[in-house]
Amino acid sequence: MPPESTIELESVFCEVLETLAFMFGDAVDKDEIPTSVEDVLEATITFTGAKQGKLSLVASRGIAMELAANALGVDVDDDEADEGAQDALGELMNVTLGQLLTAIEGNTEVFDLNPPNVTAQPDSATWEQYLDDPQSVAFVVDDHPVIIRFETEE
Amino acid sequence: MSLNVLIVDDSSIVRSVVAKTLRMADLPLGDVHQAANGREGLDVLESEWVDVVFADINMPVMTGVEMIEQIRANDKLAKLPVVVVSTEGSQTRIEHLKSLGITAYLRKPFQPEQFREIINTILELHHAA
Repeated sequence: MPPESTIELESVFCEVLETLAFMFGDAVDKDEIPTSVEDVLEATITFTGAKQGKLSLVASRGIAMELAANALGVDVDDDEADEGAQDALGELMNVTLGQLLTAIEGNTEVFDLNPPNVTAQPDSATWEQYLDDPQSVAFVVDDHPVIIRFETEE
Repeated sequence: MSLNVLIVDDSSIVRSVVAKTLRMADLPLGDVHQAANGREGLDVLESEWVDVVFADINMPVMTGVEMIEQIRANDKLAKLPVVVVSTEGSQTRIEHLKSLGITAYLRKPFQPEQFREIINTILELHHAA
């Protein structure tokens, strides 16, 4: 990922988190987050158009439940937060990608965003793959570690 | 007089947030219908009286643009107020939506205060109708 895209990703992701779910994130060095995390959710969203690519994220289920709880205005222990966790993470990806593409490419290019896909990954292999990927960026969001990767092809 | 609303978005979280934002804005809400894509949205409009539609754009099965185009092509629904709530950032697409006569465009993530301005516009339209 080009350095300017990394800067935009860091800025956009944190702004979206704050506006969408009143959560606060910071980009961090990878040695500040755990080297293995089990029972994570992996969320991906692809896009086509002027360019094509994918935004991917891996995070604990806990942060997804907090996202849902904050968006819905319920307690994180509420059934609604648990039921809406994957949907909330998918919507976070949807909004982040939309804003990111505008930040990087401007508002004249046309992109089509596909529906996000969120899957549960029970072991730590997925987390470790993201951590080892030099293109990925690490964040801490309200004490939860998150790793994001943005890939494009011309 | 209460407003019957249709919220069309493939995210159930977004549908809940929009419904909650409308309730918190003291809008005189009647029935609040929800649909997960444009096709389901059109199905609701065939059977229910709706005063305003809040619609996403990027949805599976049928997009919001396709749904709005069909609404505008239907004599019974042609003047139905439609507010687009979307991640769409392309000016080309937004201009096309405006050419379809949408009432307003709200980009995600939205602030509740932005909703209030749109609600005032909707209420003015409703009272004028």
